[in-house]
Amino acid sequence: MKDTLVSMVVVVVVGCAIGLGYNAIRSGQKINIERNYFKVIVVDTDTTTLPDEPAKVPTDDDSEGGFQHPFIPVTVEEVMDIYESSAITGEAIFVDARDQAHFEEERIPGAYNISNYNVDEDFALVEEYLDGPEIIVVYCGGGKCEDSIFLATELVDRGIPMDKIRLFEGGMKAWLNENLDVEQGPANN
Amino acid sequence: MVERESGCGAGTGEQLSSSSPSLLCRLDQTHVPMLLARVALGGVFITQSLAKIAEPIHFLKVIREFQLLPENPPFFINMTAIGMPWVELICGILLVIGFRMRGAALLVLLMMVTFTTAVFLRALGEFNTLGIPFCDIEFDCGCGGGKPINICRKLLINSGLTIAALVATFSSSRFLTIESLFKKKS
Repeated sequence: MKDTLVSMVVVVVVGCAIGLGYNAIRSGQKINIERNYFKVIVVDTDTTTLPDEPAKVPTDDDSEGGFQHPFIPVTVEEVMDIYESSAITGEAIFVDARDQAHFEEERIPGAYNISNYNVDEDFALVEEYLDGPEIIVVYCGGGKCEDSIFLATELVDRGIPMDKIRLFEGGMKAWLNENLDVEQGPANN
Repeated sequence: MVERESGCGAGTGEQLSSSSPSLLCRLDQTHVPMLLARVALGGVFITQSLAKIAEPIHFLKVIREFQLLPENPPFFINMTAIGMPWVELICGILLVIGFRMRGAALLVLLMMVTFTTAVFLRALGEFNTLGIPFCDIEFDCGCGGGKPINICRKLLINSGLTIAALVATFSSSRFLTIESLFKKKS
C-alpha cells in the first residue's frame, strides 16, 4: 500500500513538473499560472472593482444578454450600423477576442485580434489603434462564449475607458446569421 | 510467460481459503480482464491527454465550466490545466508498459470517479435549466476531442472505464508487463 501511494505521489509530482516545464518553453498557448483569465468587473454604486467571485456561466446556448457584465451591450443591428458608419468616419473599431485560428478563419472585416488568452502580446500590437476611435466593439464567438467579457475587462485594466467599449454578445454567430461579409486570413495589424 | 506478483490467494487481493478459486479469481488468472483494462485505459488516457496538452487553453476553459475549482486564486485552476494532462499521459503509459501499475490505476480510478461525477452534475444542472430529456444533453466535457458529446453516451463510456480502472487496481495479473520481465531476469 505504501508503494502504491508513493507511486501516485511521484506520478502527480513528475506530471506537474513536466507540465510546468513544457508550459514554460512552449511557443503558443502558454498559461500564465498567476493570471486570472476569467476576470469580470462588477459595478458598485461607489466604485468599480475586480471581484473575487467567478463570472456566471450561462446555460442558454443562444443567449444574447444572458451574461452579467457592466459593459454597454449592442445587438447585431446596432453593430451593423456602427460598422457601416465607421467605414466612413472611422469612429469605431472591432476587436475579436477569440484565438488566432478562429480569427483567421473568419472575422468581421477590419477587426483586430486580441485574444483574451494572449492579451499581453496581442494588446501591444494593437494598442496604437485603440486610442483614436470613440467606440471599441468587442466580440467573440457568440452563444456561450464569454471571452469578449473577459477581454473587455482586460482592456479596462489596461486603461481603455469603459464607456468606449461596446459588447457584441451575439458575436460571430449572430454576424454570420445575418449573412454579413467576413474577412479571412492573417491579421492586418 | 505468466508472472504473478500476488495472485488470488498468494498474498494481497482475494485470499483463497479452499482448493477451488472463486470465479473472479479464475477470471483474473486468465489475464484477459487486466490486459483489456490496461489497453482500454492506456489508450483513452494517452490519446485524450495529448489532445489536452496540444490545447491547454481550451482545457482551461472546460475546467472552468465545471465550476469545481476556485478561480481565485487562479493557481489551482491554471495548475490543473497545465499538470493534469501530463499526469494522465504518465498514467496511460505506465498502464500500457506495465510498470507501477497499481499506483497508476488507482490515480486513474480517482480521476474517473471525479470526471464522471463532474460530468453528471453538470448534465443534471443543464437538465434542470433547459428542461430537455437527459439523454438529449450534449456539451464539450473536455473529453471528446473538443466537440460536444452526448452525455448519456459519455456516462456509459465512463462507467466502463471506471470498471476497467477497478480491475487494473485490484487485479494481481502481471502478464506482459515490464515488472514481470525484470523479475524473471533477477
